[in-house]
Amino acid sequence: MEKIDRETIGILSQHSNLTEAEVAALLQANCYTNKALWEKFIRLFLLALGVGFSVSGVVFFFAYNWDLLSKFVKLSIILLLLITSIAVILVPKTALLVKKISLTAAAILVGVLFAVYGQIYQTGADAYDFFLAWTVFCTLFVIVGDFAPLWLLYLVLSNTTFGLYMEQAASDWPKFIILFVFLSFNFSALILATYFTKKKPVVWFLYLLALATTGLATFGNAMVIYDGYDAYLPLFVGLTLLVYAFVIWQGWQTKTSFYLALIALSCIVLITTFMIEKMDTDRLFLTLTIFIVLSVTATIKGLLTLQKKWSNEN
Amino acid sequence: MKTKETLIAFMEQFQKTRTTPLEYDVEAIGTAFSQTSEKESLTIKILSVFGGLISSLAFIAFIFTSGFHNNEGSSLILGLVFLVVSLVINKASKKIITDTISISMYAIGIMLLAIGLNFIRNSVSDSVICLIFTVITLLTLLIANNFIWGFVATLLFNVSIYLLFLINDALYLFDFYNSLLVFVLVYLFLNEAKIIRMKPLFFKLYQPVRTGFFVSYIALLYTNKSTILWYLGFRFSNAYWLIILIGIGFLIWKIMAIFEVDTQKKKLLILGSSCIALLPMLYSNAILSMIFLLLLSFYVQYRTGIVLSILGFVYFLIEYYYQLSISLLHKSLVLIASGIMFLVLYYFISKKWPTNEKTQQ
Repeated sequence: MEKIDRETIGILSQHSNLTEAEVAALLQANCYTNKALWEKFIRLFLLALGVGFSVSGVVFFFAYNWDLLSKFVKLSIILLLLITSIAVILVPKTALLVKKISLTAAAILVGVLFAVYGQIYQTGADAYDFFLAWTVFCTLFVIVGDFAPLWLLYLVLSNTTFGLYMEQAASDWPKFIILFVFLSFNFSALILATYFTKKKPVVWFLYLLALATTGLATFGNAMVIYDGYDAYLPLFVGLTLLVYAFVIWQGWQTKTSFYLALIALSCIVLITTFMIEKMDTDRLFLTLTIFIVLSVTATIKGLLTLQKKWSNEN
Repeated sequence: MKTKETLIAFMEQFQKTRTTPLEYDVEAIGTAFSQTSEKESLTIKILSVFGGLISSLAFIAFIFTSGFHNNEGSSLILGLVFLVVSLVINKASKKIITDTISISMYAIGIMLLAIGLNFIRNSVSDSVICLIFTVITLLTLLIANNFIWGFVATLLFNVSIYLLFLINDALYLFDFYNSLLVFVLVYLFLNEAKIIRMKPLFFKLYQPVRTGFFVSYIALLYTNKSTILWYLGFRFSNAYWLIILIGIGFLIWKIMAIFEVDTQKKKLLILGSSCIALLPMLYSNAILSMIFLLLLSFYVQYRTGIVLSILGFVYFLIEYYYQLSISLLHKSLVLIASGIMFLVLYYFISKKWPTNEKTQQ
């Protein structure tokens, strides 16, 4: 029998003499998780919780900085764990998922190793070079693992390194140059991720990257509105337009309203910022109310029209 | 399956599996289908709620900057007008695009009403005002005819109850209410067939009310992050962890039915080992609750729930790090113990299902 969706089952249950047991059976067979999927889920669930809890436990443990343990013991424990998690991927029979999760654990342990090293030799835990070392030395794992959560960790690490560098070593850089570098880095990551996952897109990862990139662009341009002209401003605004164009193109290509909604929302936020900056309080809030309702309604109308068009094309 | 025709074909095929004749109303099914042709995606739902709430906040800012809030009588009347108009728009138009405006007016109406009701504050207590809002939100549920309305009304209902506890300093009731929500969620999720068959209204409200309770539960956990170590006094909180553990145990029981686990011994072994793995996590009720929500959502393939519970899980794990009532050493040992137990369980599972391992790669 062909599969039917939840809504259809609901409509059927309303207008027929299907019994409760039959509706339940239809839901179970068509909508709920079946045995094979549960098997897959339980595997991933136990493994992710097992490795996740253990590694966070290790992070918490070394953050406690227990003085009963000598330097040697501390570093040995971490190295031993690191070696074990890498050894797992060398065992030929290991499942691919176990290998990938194991590499992710290894990448985090590299950070713990540097942090404990920093703790012992007082190199500073917030220094950008700590994050730089972490980023550089887990690069290999990231490339070999090629696993979305691992890539996410890598991007967070790179952004943190860069952010701290700006704060600690390059505080005299012009603001829009800093924003420009941040935006171009994440934008490049978005383009590369889209390109390399063309055949098998990891949707949540792409969504997250698009959200981060558009968010950065929106934040930067809101600062443009507040701070006014700067010599480097055209560079940043130009890049923002490229980001918008790419995200819209991506939405069009994949027929996903999420990307288009993101850009619309970004524009609404920027226009709102502009109004807050330029208008006097007497008229501001009432105008804002009307503007937001109308712009969101227009966005929804546009998206619905597009969805209809897309579903007709299929 | 999109059209009425394919559905009728399905019904005819389904008839063959039954002994008694299957009766169905073709006309009504056709009408119901034409009404659901405008399908809302999650993006559009979020946009509607976001637009509605932000614009109503802007309007409240307008009320305060213009000094209108000093005039409580007018606020009360204007609030009622907004409520009625928003309900009329909601009833009159079945189009999704009017959602933002009607939900915005509804939220403005509620807030104006809250300002206006200050005016009777001398005669009644704040609790009564909260109760009035509970009634309003319940009535809204009866009238609401789409997702956004049902969702917002459920959310506001829970907020009113929560405020009721807050203004009466009845903090111990939070855990009681959270436990109650555990039962409500299990009932809603696992009795879908029963609920949607009961009444047309229940069918219409099922999805939004479920999402509303789900989000409220996470929000309540966020504002009330209790750990058992915080409450060593005789409070209901001492039992919340037990409730959540029973909830998870019950779900594991249901999952075992899918796997056709037959002997009592096996069942007890599975339940016992899962409990031991989860036991160290009792230090953070919120993390445990997210595991409960994840299992519940996955059971019925409720995608929004799966995403929300994973995000919540990561958030509460980070929050657990910063919890100052327990030392980091203590917390780390608890996590490692739980982690190792899960890995041991994984080891047994992969021994038990060895053949599927390769096919999944």
